[in-house]
Amino acid sequence: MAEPAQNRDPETGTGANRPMLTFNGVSRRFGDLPALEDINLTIDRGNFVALVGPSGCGKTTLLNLAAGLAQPDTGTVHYDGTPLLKPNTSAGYLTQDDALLPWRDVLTNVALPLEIKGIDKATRFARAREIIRKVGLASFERHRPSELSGGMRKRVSLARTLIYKPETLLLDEPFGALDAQTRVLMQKQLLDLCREFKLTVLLVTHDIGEAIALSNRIVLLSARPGRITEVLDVPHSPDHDIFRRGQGNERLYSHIWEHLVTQATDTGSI
Amino acid sequence: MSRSGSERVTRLQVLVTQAAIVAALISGWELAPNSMLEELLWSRPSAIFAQTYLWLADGTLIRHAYATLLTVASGMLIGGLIGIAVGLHAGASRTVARLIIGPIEALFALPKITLVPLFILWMGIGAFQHIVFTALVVFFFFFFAMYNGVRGVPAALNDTLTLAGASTAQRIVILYLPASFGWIVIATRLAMPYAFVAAVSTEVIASTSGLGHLVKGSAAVMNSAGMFSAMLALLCVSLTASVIANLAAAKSRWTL
Repeated sequence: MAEPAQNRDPETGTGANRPMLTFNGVSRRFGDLPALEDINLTIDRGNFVALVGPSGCGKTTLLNLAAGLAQPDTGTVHYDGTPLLKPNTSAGYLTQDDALLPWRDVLTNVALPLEIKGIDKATRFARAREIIRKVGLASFERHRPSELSGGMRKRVSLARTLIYKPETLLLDEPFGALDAQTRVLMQKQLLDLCREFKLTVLLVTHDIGEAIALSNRIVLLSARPGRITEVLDVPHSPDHDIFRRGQGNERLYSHIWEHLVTQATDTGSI
Repeated sequence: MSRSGSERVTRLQVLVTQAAIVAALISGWELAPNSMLEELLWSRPSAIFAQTYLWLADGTLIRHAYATLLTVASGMLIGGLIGIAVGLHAGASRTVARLIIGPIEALFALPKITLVPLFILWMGIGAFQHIVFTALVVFFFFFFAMYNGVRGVPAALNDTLTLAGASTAQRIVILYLPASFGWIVIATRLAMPYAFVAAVSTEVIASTSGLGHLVKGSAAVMNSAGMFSAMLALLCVSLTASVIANLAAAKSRWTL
């Protein structure tokens, strides 16, 4: 069962059809408090999946499981066909906080994962400069996080996450704290980078518009304990325009909104 | 009248006033009749000056000041390094913290001076005993600073390093030490005067050298000028050390 990740799917020879991330009957509790219950979810290679659910339904816990930072109480999590028992170093994790080292500048923050891998200074700084340019921060290499705006800090985190070329991105409400305009620009940039690097993405968000604009599948979670209540496909053309977000998907939007309102009122959150 | 108008005092005026007060106190001390300030107990500034000059000339003050400084510096270094190492472990591991926090809190609450007689039994009255005692006193400052520094590291930063595959050594160098740097600087600054208190206390209790020894030795032979002279030297030395520590603290800018 525990075949090496490099093995390719014997039927296609490409591995393209093998799921990237699989949750089988996963439950997780914190003390007496159940956070997740019987999660069964498969995320295919190259897909962009959004997790939407009311506050405290265990979305972040699900991401921590996918990152291998936590283990399920029951059930299993597989990454690229292999059971995930330790931190998942093939996945890039972008948390709600920027998680940048405040005493380091942009360049050394972005180069951090390569520094940990023991790659020499010249190589890692060259790679960092390249990716910093990609996220549009070329002239800010020597700035510290405290000298940057929220959107810029987020882009530094994104650059640091992308520098070790992860196959998968785990995003925990990455743009929640940004203003509306910056958020859309960041989403556009994220989508472009995902296409360029052919990334598989699992995005946790509160923002229905964001979920519809970015993902091709939306997973709805119930209030605590989190259970999957519905999986929705988002129909849009492959080169859809993020600035026309949600257009043509109004019914999907109101369907998800109804779900959130129902879940919130059922648990007395409203 | 506005506050700024009523309190416009130049730096020079402050200095002149302070100098005048000191001068008045010293001349009063010098000129007071023996019936007011008995010379045997209080000495006189002129006698203290003469004693200081004599001790400076024959190297007595330098020798004892050097002994005290050596005790303080070694104690700070040893106590600081052990405190940082233990605090690092306790901060990084919940299990280690649960094991040692109780005993350390208990030892911290104990008035350490009561240990000096025991230390004398174990280690005698030489420099080694003074250093061990000073190290013990300053240990707590560095331990709690490092412990809190490491525990205050946001979980997101720790997770980032975990996912990048960082080893324990890398985590310490890249994350824990820089994150605690500000705490360590503050600990150094706070521990410095206590290191002097510890060193001089052990010297006063029992010793063969050090400024505390000089104070006690002078008191034993009713040499009050010698006591004041040794105290003056101690003041100069500890003030200089504290000023240096404060300057270092002001220069530091790493805080999380």
